[in-house]
Amino acid sequence: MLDGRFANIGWMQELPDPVTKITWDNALLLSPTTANRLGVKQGAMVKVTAGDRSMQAAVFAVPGMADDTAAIALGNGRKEVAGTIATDAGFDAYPMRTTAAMGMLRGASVQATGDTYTFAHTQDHGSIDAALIPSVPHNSVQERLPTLVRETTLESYRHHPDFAEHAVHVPHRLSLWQEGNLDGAQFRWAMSVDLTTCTGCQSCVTACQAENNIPIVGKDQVKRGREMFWIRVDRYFRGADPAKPDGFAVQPLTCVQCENAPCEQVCPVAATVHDSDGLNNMVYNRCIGTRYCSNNCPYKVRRFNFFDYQRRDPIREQQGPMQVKPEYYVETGPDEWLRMQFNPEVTVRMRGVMEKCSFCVQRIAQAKIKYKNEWAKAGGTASGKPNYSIPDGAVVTACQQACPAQAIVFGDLNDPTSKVSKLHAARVSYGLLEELNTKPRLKYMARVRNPGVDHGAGGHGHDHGSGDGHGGHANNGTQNGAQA
Amino acid sequence: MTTFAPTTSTDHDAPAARRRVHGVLAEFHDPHALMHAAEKVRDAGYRYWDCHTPFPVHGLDKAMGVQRTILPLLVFGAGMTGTTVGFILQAFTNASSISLWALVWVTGYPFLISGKPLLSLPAFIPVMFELTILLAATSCVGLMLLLNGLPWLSHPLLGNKRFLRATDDRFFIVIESRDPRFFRSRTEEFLKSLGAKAVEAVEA
Amino acid sequence: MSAIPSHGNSGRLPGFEETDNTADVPGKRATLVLHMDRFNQVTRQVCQVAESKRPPFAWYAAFAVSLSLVGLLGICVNYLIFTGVGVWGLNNPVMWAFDITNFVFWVGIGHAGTLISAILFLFRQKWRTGINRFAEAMTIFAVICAGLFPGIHVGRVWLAYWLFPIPNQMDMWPQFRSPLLWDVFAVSTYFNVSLLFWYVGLIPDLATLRDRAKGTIQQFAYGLFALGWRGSNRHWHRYERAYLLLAALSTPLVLSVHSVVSFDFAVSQLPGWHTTIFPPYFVAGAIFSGFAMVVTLAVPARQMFGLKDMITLRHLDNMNKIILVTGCMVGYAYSMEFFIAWYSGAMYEKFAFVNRAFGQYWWAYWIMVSCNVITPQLFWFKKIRTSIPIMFALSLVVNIGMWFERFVIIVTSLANDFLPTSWDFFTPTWVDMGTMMGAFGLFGTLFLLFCRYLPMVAIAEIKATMPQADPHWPGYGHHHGAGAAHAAHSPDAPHAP
Repeated sequence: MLDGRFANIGWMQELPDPVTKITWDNALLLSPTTANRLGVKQGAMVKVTAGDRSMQAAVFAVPGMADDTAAIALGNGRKEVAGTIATDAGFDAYPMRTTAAMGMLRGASVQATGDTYTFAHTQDHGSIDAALIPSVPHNSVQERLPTLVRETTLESYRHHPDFAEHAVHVPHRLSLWQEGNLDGAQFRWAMSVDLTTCTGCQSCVTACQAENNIPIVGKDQVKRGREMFWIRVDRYFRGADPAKPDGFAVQPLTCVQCENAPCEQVCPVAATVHDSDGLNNMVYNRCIGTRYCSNNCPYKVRRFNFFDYQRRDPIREQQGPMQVKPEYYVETGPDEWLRMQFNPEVTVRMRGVMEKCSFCVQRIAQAKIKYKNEWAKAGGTASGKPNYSIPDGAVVTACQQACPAQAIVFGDLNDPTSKVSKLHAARVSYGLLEELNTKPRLKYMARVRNPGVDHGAGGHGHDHGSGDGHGGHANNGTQNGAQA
Repeated sequence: MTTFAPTTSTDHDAPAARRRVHGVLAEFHDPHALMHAAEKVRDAGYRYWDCHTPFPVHGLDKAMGVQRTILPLLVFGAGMTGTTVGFILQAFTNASSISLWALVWVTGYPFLISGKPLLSLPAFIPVMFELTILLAATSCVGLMLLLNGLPWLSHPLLGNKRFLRATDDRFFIVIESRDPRFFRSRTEEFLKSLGAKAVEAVEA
Repeated sequence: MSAIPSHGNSGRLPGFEETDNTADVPGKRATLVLHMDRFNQVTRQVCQVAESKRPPFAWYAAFAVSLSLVGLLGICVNYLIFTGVGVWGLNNPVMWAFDITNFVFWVGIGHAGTLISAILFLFRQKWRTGINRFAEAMTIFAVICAGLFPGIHVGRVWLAYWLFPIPNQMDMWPQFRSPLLWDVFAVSTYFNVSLLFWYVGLIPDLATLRDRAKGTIQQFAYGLFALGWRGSNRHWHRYERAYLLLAALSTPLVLSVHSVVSFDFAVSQLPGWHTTIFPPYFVAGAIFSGFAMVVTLAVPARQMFGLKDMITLRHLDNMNKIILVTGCMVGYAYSMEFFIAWYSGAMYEKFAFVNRAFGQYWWAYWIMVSCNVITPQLFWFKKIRTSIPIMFALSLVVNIGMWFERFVIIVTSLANDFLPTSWDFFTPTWVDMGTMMGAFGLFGTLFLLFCRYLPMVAIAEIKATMPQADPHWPGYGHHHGAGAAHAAHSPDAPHAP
């Protein structure tokens, strides 16, 4: 939200911080060691004093911060100019900013006030790292991390180019039945995400939200774990000690469009089914909301409309008993301009239905119509069965379009020359949780790092790619740049 | 002890009189006495008669000569119908795209579900089983009532004061007037001779 | 009126000075009905509840509490339906919590009723007659409570009828591969068959009430539902066949219902749910919780309505033995889950179970283990099995434990599954709590109404288990030395009021 000028945009507020995963707030970031030493827990309110200037903020200890350093993003919490949406969102760091050093402040002191503050997270609810969720067995995250985010160093990759295949050892994946339902399909849409180039900036998240009419649910609902993003960027710290992480990994995750989708078989009303292109489609007007599909989704990428977040029809004045408005609404009112932010190509979901990533099926449909028309105009209908093809790159998903690193590639697997076919065929390509035989259509390119020389100065930094302005660095060390 | 039983049909019994009484009931105070009496009534060759007890008395079926009911066979048939209906329902709706007329026109809708085959018998078994049980059980109760001629709320016996205790602690034998061997006075005599504590006619 | 004084409600304290008929005397028929040797006494003792002008004060008190909980249920369900499922504490990984926990809990409670009425019938366990009627009633009311939850938990309640294969213009059909749809068929079949079974058993007893009724309304109401039953032996013949068939059909049904409920979990791929042990484990658990609920209900009911001579210590003792056995089976299942998780070597499986015992919900897990496995071991002692206050307390403990079992299975598995990034924690809201309490209120209301207006003990069936019911009973011999019982058959025995 830059210096705060974009603070009043719901999309910006709800977009989680790439590292802390906090939404609707900024926080005073400390390293776990420093937080321990100061005796403050997650969410403790502190008073930061430097000379005659002071501010209050809630603490969030995050692995990778340099010790004895505090950081806070500018732009939030500007009460008088906050606007309707950013009201009460975050803490104002401007009082600490001086012309002497715009982004940094030395010799600040931090003191706990005794109050506590609750953050709304989209990940690791209430804890630095999932491994530290009180009394969750400790090594459980670290144990599974190498299989989820497969990575290696360039050095090691040169010797073991097949490392991604060997991250999980599974016996032959045999089906109990003949799998052939998708044979002979005209298209096989698929996606590839390159973990090496992904920076975790989350542009894809907001792009998807804009494209697919995904509601903003507000801080209270995020706190309850009901954020609606169809694509999320998972963040992991590697290493046994969260105070000194060995590394940091991000992994964008949409619905992976499993060929053997576990969600489909459990839906009692066939509201989520496969189409012949291999897409796992969600049929909103058939959904009755048993939520069983989400329970059976190993990736937990399905999102449920717990309330009528959008109001059933954004164009209509809402009336009647089915339209009870809980306080969770972000009041949009009957404003013509706000209505126009909706994408007319995408259904607006009512409460009680499940939704999820559709691989931007509306864009696929548009491309199909276009190329089928061309094929028909060229006399193709004479041959009967449609055998038009869609050139590689004609369908671009919203997340792919927004990705500055071009880490996301989408295309047709039936076309052996398409970029996605080639990427899927690469040795570093792997499917998340593919040992469950879900046969995901989204595959990751395992991450290959070139860590270079360890300078031995401080911990690893982290990358705030979202463009948040960082101000008020009260430190007596140096802030390392992003290394990964 | 069949001496009181008429040996010929009751042609001297006026039709009007027959209409007046439903039959004759005899009251007994314990199952033991009832059973012995029932054996005698059976041996006397009556056809339209019955015992009425507050609870099923063990061995009375044999004493009365009641034939085994065909209920189990019918229930088996209903159960098998349930299995078939269950299979057809699922195969038609989930694995076929044929249209057929079942009161209204309906069409099957095959979906691609989790890459599974359309016709997957293992997944269909639970519903087939449940429908088997459902049809068998409902028809079991329905047919039991039907074969018993129930519900019949206005049965003549239900109007009899003495008969009220048939659901409490008394045991009755009722010989109906439509029985070819029924002759009111003689039948009453006969029942008294069987050790009945009370014998009386039941108004029709 | 009776020559033998009634032993029903003579103000004895619970657990104090009850006749101990729990020991079997070899070669002798066990006493199932105490202090009664006339059929008439049984009729009177059971019918007095429905015929009395007003029930005991405790009934009113319990009814008031239950009814107000039903009011709470109404408020919660309305709020839920008009606002959205979000009024519950559900979140993204934990999409099912109290709703399905309550569903499985109530379905489980129902199982004891069918077990008593069907399986014990097939095994010719005559002691079932004392408790089968209200155990079956309990089944039906429990299944009603159970059916409530899947009905209201869906996001769009007004479309829940799409679960049934009703022809429609869109040719949309249910998806028969879903365990949830199997559930729809299993639970609705179970409800129908249980209701039929219960009603078939009730017919002769309704006829008894009809024949004893004084008022016209009672006569009409009982008469209508008695279907004109008149105890004809030709009817009894088919009736008994039908009853046997129903028992034979209900036995696989009751085993299938909780198996199908367990398929909701076992057929999914979630670690902690995806377990082949679930069907037998769920059935054992269901019987366990169901018998505990029967004890919970039987102890106050026999006290309140003076049915101690028909629901005797022997019955309670037998039920406690079943609780002990099924409790051990459940304990075995708990340990076997851990063993298999370890033996499988699967990372996610192992974590799911370690997390259950030591993770976020460790307290729920240990409540479950201590209530379901450790406490019922006390039933090894006969003193405890036959002590009314202790068995009542233990049955409550088991009920609590079995509720937590379902909570542990559902919530801990969902909260921490494959990807650590989607982990979350479920916290119930007041609506969750209110709906759960309300279901208990609904159950209580229905059960209390049943106690008040219908025969709580199967009159005809229990008479048939009395020694006098056998025409070959030695007392009917020509020797009049058969004891005092024979006096009951003097012709001048007065008609019951």
